[in-house]
Amino acid sequence: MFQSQPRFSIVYLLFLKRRVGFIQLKELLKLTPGNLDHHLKKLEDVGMVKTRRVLSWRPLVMVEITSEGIAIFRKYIVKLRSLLEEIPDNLLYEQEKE
Amino acid sequence: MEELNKVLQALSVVERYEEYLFRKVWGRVLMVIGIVLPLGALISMNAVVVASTIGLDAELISLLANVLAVILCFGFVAYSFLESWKTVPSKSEEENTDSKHGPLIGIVWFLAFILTSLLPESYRLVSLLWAASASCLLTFVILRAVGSHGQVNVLLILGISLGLVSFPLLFITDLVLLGYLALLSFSVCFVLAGIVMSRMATEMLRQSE
Repeated sequence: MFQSQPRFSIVYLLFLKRRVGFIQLKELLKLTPGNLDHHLKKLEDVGMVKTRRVLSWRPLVMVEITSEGIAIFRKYIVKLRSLLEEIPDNLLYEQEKE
Repeated sequence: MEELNKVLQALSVVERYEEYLFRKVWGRVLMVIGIVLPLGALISMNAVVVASTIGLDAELISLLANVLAVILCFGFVAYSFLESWKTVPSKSEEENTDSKHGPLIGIVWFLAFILTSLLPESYRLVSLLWAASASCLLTFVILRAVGSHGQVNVLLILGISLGLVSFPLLFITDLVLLGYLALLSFSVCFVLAGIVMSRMATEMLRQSE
């Protein structure tokens, strides 16, 4: 799921902010509406995010992270962190000496 | 390496979004201050006319208008900033420095406007411009000192403009005209600054990484 850069960025931003507007996401990630929609559909299919129409002075689409999405992303981050921690210290030390 | 790049790019996206929210909120806040505070003062200035229409005491109307305007403004400002700074509770202290200088800026604005009420009546409306000018300049200094957001030059320009606009007004002897002009200057400066800040927010989103 997080192989794609835009999807990782979307979930990371949503993990921190809980909900972000579709237009803001599109501008931030420099994606076309169709492209962003494609990534959101993939995330929606696995239940990580949901989109909601909000009535404001103009119609807005808000993208929200689900509680399941938060749990999945948390697990992924913990795994990523443990992978980084597994790098042996001496390897880093030797590289520094070089 | 690919994973690291992914994380770094995501961090850059979050950073730009935070800056966007910061500018957007400031834009909105400046516009609301530029509309609500002068409106309260305008009602207060015409309290006698309003009182005769509604059938209430003029002093009560004046007090209500001013108190409501201040409460509305500070309430909106506090709500807007709290909303924009709301992140997950697990965020580290270092990342959350915004919430620490926020109350300080709030106190500066509150004190500046309270101090204007101590001045003689002839200076009271012009002093609204001085209070706003001093508040904007001090906010600029605080934000620069904290260094959390780069683009706060609008506040510096707004502070200087308010200060400059206030001096020619001191030569006006007609108190009513002085009052209206002071309120108009206050409103125009704040609304313009708000529009500029909002435009800067939109530009922030479009900026390349």
